[in-house]
Amino acid sequence: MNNHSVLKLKSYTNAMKASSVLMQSGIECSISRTVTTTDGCIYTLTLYTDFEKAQSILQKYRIDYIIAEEGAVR
Amino acid sequence: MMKNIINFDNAATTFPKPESVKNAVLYAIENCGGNAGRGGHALSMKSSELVYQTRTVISSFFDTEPENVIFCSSCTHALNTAIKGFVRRDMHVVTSSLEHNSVLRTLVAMKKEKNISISVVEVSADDSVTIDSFRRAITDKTGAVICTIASNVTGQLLPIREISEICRRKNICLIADGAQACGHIPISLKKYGINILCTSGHKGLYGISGTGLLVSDGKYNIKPFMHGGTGSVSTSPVQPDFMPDSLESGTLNIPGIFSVKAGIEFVANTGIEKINLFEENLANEFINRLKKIPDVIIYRSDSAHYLPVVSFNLKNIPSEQLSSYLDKKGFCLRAGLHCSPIAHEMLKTQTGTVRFSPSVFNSAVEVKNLCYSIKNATYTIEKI
Repeated sequence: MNNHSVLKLKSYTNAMKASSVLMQSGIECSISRTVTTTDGCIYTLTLYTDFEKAQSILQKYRIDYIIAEEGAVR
Repeated sequence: MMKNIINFDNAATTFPKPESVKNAVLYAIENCGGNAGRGGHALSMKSSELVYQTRTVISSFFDTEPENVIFCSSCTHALNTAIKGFVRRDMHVVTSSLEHNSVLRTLVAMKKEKNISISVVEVSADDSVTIDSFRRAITDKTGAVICTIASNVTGQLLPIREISEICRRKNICLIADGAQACGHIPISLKKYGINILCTSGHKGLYGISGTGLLVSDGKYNIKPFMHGGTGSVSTSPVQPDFMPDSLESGTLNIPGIFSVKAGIEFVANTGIEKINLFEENLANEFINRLKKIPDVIIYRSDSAHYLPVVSFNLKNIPSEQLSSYLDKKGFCLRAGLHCSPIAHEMLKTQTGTVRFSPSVFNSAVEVKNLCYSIKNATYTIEKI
């Protein structure tokens, strides 16, 4: 199992906003462009900790995402 | 920089620009060569990061969320995006008698194309009269109030908070033209109750020409009138339905956007109240000196509130002629109708006025010298 989780976001603005609200809550993450996609410029957020907490924060801020990989991080 | 030219036409475009704005443009040109929001290579990611940083600075400045900031090419572009994207067929809209053509012409075009009806509220020097007129103009069919925060001709401020309160109670969208007001008064979308704010980036926000902003509180859906590449959801032939992508087709103006960030930071760091007070002092100095010149007409009322913008004329001297005379003396002031014929109709100045609009880079000495030239004009220019 991966030691990280990956979320797909539909635009760079979404990815940056997600990253910003997560970082404000002390959750480390990084943004990159999704390589394996045919959906245009999808950006991914890689999380190394607190995956469940991160999801609840993103839902609170109404930021849409798709879980691409769910790692073993808690 | 051009020597011996004093710009008092800052209501059109502030000039000169702060050093930080010049540096920001240069930085963007030298370092941000990629398309923002498209691609994952270093140049693209750098541009994307810079654009997002700017969104956060602007959203914080106007008290909204970063995704609700739309980059446009001018305030006119922003107003067209807001008006054409929100106002629906057969809708009734209310506007004011102090509007710029960017609002007026757009509404008139929509009247023809979408059968909308328009009520133009006469702005009074007495705010309570203006508020009452807006209240009476609103009907059950009214979907939007579209008005300026301050006149670009006289600088008169509209009672926008009270107008927004009327809109809020009746669930009407308030689209505000902040071209003159932004950078002079602190505007919080939440505190002012403005749903959609449109502004230029190159006036009081000190960015470069070719920049404008649409800033929304996210309450009302704005349909795009322009479609195309956004970098997102590219497999779909349909425009994305989420902000900011829905309203930002095409490559963004990265140097312009970064200049607006630097300009807003300049305004915020200098202090918006401090800037306005400084410019107000210059405007008052100008008015006091003007009043001593014979045959001067100043288009202000004691009971109204104004930004530091002054419209004036010399009796029997056409505004364009006075402006041309002052230009030869090294002073840039805008004459004519200022793209706001209905405001001039209200002022009964159909042949226009001369407009004085200082910036933070002007001085009291420059105002004194300008007034000296205006005084000389009264006996140098042949009267009609």
